[in-house]
Amino acid sequence: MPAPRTDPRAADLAGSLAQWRRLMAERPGMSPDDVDELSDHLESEIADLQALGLAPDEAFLIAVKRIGAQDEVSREYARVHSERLWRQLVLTDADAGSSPDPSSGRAVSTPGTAARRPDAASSGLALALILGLAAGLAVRLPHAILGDAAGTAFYPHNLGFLVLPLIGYFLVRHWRAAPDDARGIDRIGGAAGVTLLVAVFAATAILVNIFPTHPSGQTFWLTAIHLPIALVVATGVAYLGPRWRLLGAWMDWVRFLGESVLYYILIALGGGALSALVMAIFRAIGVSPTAVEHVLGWVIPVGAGAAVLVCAWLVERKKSVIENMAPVLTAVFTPLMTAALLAFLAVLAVTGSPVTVDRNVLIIFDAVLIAVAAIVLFTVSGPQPAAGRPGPGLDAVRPHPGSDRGRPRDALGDGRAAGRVGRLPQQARRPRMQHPAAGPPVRIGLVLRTDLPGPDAERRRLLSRAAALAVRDPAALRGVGAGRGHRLPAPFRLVLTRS
Amino acid sequence: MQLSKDLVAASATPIVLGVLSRGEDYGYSLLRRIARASDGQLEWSEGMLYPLLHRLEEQSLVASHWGASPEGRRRKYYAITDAGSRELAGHVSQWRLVIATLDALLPPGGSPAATSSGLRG
Repeated sequence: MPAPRTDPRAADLAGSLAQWRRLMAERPGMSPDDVDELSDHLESEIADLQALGLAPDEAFLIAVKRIGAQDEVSREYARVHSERLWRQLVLTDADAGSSPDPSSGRAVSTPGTAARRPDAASSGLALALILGLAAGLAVRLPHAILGDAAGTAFYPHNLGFLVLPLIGYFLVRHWRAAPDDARGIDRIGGAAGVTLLVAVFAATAILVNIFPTHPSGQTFWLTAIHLPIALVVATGVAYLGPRWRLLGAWMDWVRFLGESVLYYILIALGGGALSALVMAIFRAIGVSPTAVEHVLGWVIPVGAGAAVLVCAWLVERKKSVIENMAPVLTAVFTPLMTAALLAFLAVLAVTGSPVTVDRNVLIIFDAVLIAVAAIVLFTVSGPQPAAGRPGPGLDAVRPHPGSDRGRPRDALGDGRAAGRVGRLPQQARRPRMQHPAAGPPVRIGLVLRTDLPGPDAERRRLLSRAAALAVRDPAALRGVGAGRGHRLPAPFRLVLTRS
Repeated sequence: MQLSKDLVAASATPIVLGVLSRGEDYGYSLLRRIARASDGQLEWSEGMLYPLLHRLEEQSLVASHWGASPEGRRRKYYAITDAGSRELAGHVSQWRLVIATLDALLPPGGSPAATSSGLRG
């Protein structure tokens, strides 16, 4: 970093650079060295442009545009260094030597240090593993204490209470390590919010266990089916924080759940295959099967509980990996599910009157409908190619969480909103060294602060028009940057978001 | 002058190796030299240069080392290797063959101006 600057716009520039670096570092396939190299390029270009007379923010905007969209550049890196993608699936270079303790690893994001990837990832993994172990034990211990018979009555109602609070704790704790948010648990209303959530869980747990039901009764199973949904919704509040009032934000939670389920299936398949293999090996060398089964009787439930937390960590950390698979899976399973349901209806119609259907069948059907609703919701919540999807945790840099899905509009200049974020248009007519595949775009937004007091209302309106134009047309952007008297000074602030 | 995507991809390696054949350089300066050599007509999505450099490094056509910029930033310098020089010579003779063939095929005084200025870069 050069000598200390006093110009506030220069300070903005340092902040923008740091943010750009951070977003770039989070991309799969990018090593810290790559980010250093790219930011050397960026800063060299910014310095040259400033020498031509551009303001720092203008220079930054143009330099970022010239270097190319982050997703395209990082994809090209990933193609060259394909081996990194596999390594980064678990741990990244930047994470390797960092502190496992989120409280000490957390740094206030000052320009320069924030450029390094935050420690949240590895600390998140350590946290997820510890919590996962706790969840696994919480799942297994009641069986050890209560025995088989009581266990069958206990688990259908209480499984959610054993695992979900730990996920909630993980999600809240995860935020505390997130660099974008210094407010910690304030996101869900501070201590009061946390207390409320805990109270909801505790009250439900007491109510459900006090209410007299019998494992053979229908009430018992209806509760077992619907209670987890209610608890998952409550956990969703812990995930969403202040955004829980927004419908779109709940789609994030649905997506989170859907991707967790997919991860869990993968892990369960792997775990199952591994267990079968281990049993076969031990049997082959003559170890008594009961001993092996006794050990696995602990390992499998604990692993199953722990996997839930690991899935939560994986989804939080590595969305992009499964994101590409999820639409395919839903595309495959939606027709299959539909076919299965139609077959069921046909059989029902042929074999008997629906009026005489047993209530137990209806309860099963209820569960089927929940599964259908889950699949449909997950499909709908999937990433739309046309609309950028903001990731959770980045809402701190977006002034309007709900307003950035649309295209940039002329409304940029209407003076009503505090900010609009537009997507950087593709540089369509420029020769590329890679193919322009579709993917989550990086958006560069000009956030217009029209609420600033000042006499220059007319000029500000003109500028906002120019900015709206520039966001849609990169060529116009050059005009804005290079032209005299068309600078983008105080009323504009540059914001980068990653979808 | 807008080059087609395929042409950019095909010409990128000889162009980068060509710049480096005059001495080691870092990415930003390399792009500036390409822009100057082509009168600003050849434009790349600049971030794409680095993955290309890394690929060339993997193929041992260039070597790199970290240094520092005058402002004190970390800066990565690239230099051409012997294998890179040989590769460059091969590329150049291929390109010369293409240009010579085009020149011989086109009618003299036709309108190959755009084509030849595009290939000159």
